[in-house]
Amino acid sequence: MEFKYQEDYKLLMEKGEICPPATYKPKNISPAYRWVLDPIETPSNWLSQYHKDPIRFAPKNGLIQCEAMALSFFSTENGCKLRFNELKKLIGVKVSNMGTHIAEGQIFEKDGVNSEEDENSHFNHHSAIEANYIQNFLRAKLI
Amino acid sequence: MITLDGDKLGVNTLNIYYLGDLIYYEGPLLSIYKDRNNPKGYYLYKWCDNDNEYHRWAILKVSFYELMNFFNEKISLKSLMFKDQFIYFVDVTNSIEEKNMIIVSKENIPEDYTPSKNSFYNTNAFTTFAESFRKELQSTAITSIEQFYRTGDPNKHIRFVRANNEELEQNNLSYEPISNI
Repeated sequence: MEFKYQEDYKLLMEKGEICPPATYKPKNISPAYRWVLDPIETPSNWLSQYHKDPIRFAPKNGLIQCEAMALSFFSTENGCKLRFNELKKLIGVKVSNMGTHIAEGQIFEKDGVNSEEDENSHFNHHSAIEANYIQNFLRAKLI
Repeated sequence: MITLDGDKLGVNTLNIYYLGDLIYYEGPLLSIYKDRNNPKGYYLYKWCDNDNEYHRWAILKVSFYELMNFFNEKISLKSLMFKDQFIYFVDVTNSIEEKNMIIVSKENIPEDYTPSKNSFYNTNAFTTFAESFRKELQSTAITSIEQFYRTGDPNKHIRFVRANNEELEQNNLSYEPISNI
């Protein structure tokens, strides 16, 4: 599988970090949910945190840089909402800078590789070059 | 970004080093640093806001005991944030330069930057680093208690109380500096 950020993964590999982690697997996940800003097509919605601000992550180790190159998704709407509300409680309402809506769609095997889900149904996703989330995530509603 | 009502300061002169991220969601939201000049001194960097240029962080000075009480769910993140009269904020550029250091009186902290009154530690919302850090703090505290009882040295500045008069368990310990007793 060819990844969207293949060049960055190569650089991490040179530093001894295997990215995406070997345990990540391609699979079909439907439904899948993600926080997004309105409208759903906003390019930053589908850009990893690392690629929004690469320099911000420069001093971090390879593991953190690799994680920051992934997108966060949830396999349940409830898990997606819960995480948002939990962070709002702890950090404040400005977490809405990261998302105001929940996009619902699906992830296909060809779209990339995924971590195991945690107890809140969250998983990390490293994007393949073929992934087209705007095509696969058509609906969004206010969190 | 919200315009803060406070006094601008010069550069950040804190002599600290990064320990890890306590809350993380596609980037750090609450990080902890240690004071190089004070082995019991810590700083929390709490993410507050961002725009195209900056990420804004609140800098909260916290003691070992305050952290212990936070991790034991005795006090909330909101209480930690508002325990002092003033809070420092810093805007950090995408190239990690700290700009716009400002000190704000707690009455003027924007509501949008404020955690809720129920902002207690819980393992689900925090990172695995946070949980191992909590255990490390607890282990340090237990060692101090043991030293206090072995040596009777009041300078250890630690005592413990049984929570709710129940059987002593690590998670129910509560710590206060002796000077506060």
